[in-house]
Amino acid sequence: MEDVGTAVREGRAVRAARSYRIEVGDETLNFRSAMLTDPVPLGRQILVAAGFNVGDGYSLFAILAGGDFEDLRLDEPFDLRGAGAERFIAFRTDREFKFTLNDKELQWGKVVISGRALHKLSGAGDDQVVFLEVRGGEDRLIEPTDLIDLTEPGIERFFTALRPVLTYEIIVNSRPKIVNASQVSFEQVVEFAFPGAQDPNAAFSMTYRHAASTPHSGELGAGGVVEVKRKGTVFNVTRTIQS
Amino acid sequence: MSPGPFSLSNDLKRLREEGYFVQIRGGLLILCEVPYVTASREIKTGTLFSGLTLAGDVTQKPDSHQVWFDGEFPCDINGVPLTGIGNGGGHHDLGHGLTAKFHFSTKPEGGYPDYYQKMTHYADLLAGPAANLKPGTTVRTFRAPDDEDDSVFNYAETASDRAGIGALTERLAGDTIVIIGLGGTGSYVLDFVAKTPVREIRLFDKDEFLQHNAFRAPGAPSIEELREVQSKVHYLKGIYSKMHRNIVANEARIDGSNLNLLDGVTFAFLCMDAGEAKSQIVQKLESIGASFVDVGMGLELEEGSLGGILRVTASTPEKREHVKDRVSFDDGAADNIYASNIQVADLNALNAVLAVIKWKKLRSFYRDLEQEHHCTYTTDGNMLLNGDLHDAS
Repeated sequence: MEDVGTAVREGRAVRAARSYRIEVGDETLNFRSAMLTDPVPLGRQILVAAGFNVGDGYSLFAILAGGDFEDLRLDEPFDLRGAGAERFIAFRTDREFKFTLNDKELQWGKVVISGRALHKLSGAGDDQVVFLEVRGGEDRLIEPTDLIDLTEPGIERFFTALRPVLTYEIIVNSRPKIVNASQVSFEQVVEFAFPGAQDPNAAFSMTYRHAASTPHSGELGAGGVVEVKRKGTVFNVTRTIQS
Repeated sequence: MSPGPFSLSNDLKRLREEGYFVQIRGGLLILCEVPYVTASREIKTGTLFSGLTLAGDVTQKPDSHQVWFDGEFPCDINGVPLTGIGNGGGHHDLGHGLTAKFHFSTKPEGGYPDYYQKMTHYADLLAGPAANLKPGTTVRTFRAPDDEDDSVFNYAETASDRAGIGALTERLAGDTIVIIGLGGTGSYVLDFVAKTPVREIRLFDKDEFLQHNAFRAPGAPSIEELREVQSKVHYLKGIYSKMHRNIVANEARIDGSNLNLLDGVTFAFLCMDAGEAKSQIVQKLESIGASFVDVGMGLELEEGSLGGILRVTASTPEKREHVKDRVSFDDGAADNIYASNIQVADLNALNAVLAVIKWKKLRSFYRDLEQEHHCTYTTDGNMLLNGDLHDAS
């Protein structure tokens, strides 16, 4: 038995063997192993070996070593020994959606694609995240669970890059302040509003609203923490001692 | 209540002169010893009650043609109920310790021109059959009531009885109130409390009422009044004692040396600066089992506009522990770097209103489902928040 994937990873030609192991994934990128005795199978043979019902109108793509897809018709032979492809994806659809990932044009048989699928397809490491290019705006970070609608007009352009350091903009007594973590403490907010050493006996009243955590609004006491949104969580802090 | 409605109002005067046994309790006109026929054809006497519309102790045209009656349902000479004047028994708590069983409503064309016409009309309906059954029976008993005027007001409080909430207003009557600090917020608290029948209102403040105070207090002093340089407590007592009789002005600051002046207080409004005195006052109030609310605001001038938080923190014998975390007890003057001392009359008034509403909730005048013992209002978000709920730990 020759594992095609091993050969690809070792950068060598696929050896002649009794059987060849490949990986075939469905549209959710769940891969299963398939064993083929023929080194040059037809598309239909690959589907059958992986347990797909050929009558259901599947399309098949080979994921090439560089991350590109190669369209494969059911009656078209594919030479496992030279293409450097060990992974295939079967789509139960007759539609194809085009997008680019790191400038490579790819096709997808589902109306949506997940951030996780994009990340897998890109082959990027864990320190990289996928972005959706936004012309004339801030490129959108695609989290693994985000689903991108590919039916929108135009070709979506994705790329991978290092995960950025997230910042959060909160409002303290009407002034915007930047914090580097989503958890903001009572003491941090007091320090923003009244910089410098605090009298430990000075009781401050603090209220917040538009928080990410629930309740979305409330009062915060000493030692308290609230989860803020990327932008727009509002704090008020003052000593309520005048009458 | 002198000279009082019975000498100033012709209709009430006429009722008394003609021998009707009438008296006023709170905002109610009461006609006593009205004879009527019962279903078993006995003659008994009952009591008629009417709301009163007064302007400075002078009656106006009655604004309602309805009365309450306490007794059995009145009948005609044959013992047949007079269903034309009303029906359905019940229990009507009229406040002032008065209750009635029936609510009657008959209206002549054009209503009643005055209370003489109104009361005699109802009295005749009831007493007429009784006089037919037993000649000589009359509602005109020529009995004068013991004119015991124990009202805390200089004139009758007619608003509650007119609205049918006299019994609720009575729930406030047992309180001896103290307002400590008569600045912007404290003076507005007085404005609202003086309109309730509390037994006594004690005022404590050492400061004078100066020009800048005029712009943060209710009412409008003349420049001549300002030139008199009165103490805050005497200036305010001068205004509100026109209405409430039991306002006691103390031109003094309460501190450890005179805490005994709080003896007998059942509810306190603390509208004062943070400081050593406040913690002593709180300890004293706790020791005598009094409830209190502590109010305070903080306004910050930022980016060319004002914003901040108003706070009302309540303490009751059932729940006291949260106060130390919610209320500043340190001397604000010591760290003036955060003491902005910005206050504005409308927010003083709002802070006072929130405090007075809480007091009325604690006295079951208003419904209180949350039983919050702490509340804040954040101005720039119009956000009202409750905290320290009674059942929460």
